[in-house]
Amino acid sequence: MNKKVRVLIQTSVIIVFIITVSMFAHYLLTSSVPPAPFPGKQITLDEFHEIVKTRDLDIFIPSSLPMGYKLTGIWYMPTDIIIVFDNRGVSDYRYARIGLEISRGIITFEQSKPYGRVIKYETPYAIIRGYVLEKAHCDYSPTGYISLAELWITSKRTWKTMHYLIDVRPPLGINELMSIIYSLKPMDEVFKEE
Amino acid sequence: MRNIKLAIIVLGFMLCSAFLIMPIGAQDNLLTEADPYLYAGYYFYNGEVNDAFGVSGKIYTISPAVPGINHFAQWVNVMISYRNHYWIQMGYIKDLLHRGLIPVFHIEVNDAWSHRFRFISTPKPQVGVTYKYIIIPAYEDGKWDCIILRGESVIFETTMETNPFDCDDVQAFTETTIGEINIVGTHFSELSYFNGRGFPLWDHHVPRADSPYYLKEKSHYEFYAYGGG
Repeated sequence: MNKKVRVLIQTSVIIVFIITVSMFAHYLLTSSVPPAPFPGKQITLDEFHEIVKTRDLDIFIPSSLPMGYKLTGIWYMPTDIIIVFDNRGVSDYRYARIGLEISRGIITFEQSKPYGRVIKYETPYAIIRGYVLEKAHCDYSPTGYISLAELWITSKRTWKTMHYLIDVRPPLGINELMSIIYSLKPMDEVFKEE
Repeated sequence: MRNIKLAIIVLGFMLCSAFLIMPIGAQDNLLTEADPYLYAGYYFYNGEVNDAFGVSGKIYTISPAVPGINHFAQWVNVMISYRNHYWIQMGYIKDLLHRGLIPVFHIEVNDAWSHRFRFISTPKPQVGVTYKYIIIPAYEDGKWDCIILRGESVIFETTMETNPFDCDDVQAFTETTIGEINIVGTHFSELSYFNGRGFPLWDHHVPRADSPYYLKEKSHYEFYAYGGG
């Protein structure tokens, strides 16, 4: 057999072998049995207002957003509310670039373990405490990472505390997340200002 | 000339093989994007107030044929965040590529730190036996107690830490990656939620069954599932 041909075949075999092994290794290392997807539904702002009023909740949302971003979707199930903002019109709760996930929470701030930078501050409307992670793992981020805040927000009107996960996806980062956190106000106040 | 033709044929064959293999490695991303998993089971979420801080349920062990690189699994799950795809889950899985012909117990965590998947090497679930799976807050440094019981005996127990430490919903499902897997025999019972004091049975549920699977809803806390194959 021609020497050049032999070298070509040998090189090809090695390349294919490496590709095959790396593909299998990737598959073996990344096996996953993910849970069933979000069963809630997208609702309108008016419907959301009605729910909030009925349940006597104070929902806190950002009064200041990065340039070009606006509310694109509200996703609701009785135990979990997801509010998303985006600058491309994306309303999908997984891929919009700014998201707030609100629930009752199973532990208090005092019972929690400080997983990130501690935040504690007070506004005329709320007492806000929690943690911020500059780089958190997330499957739905194009880079695999997001900036994430876990907050316990106690409304000074109702004295109810709700658990918030607030995150930003790339290209937004920790600076935008901090601005969002420090601009949180009750939803009614934000819409009144607009 | 004959050698060159042979070389081209061999090279072509190898490239084709590589492209056929490629979807195996790419599967994870593809699955995340398109969500082609098939589910049959219950969400708990339909309550106005979420008292669920954990979950438990009995699952009868079956061992259906699983073709190729697919998997079949049955589990209970604590959903930490739907938006960010964070959860902690325990059950059993049959996955030929990873563990061969018999099912194995598994625990999976996906959270702000990372994705962790743990096959439990011993004990092994026995086909035809019902096990009880419990995920309950340990109230210690953000940890969950993950327990498997056979009858009254604890056969496996470990703690898993998650960040965040929360529960937005609980679930109990059979899951496959392909409708050719026949899930007849599926039986979940005594589905319970932890409310901080005890484990009441689920008093509401929302069913989900993706075609070709079907549910037989016996009560809020018990169901059978069948179909596929």
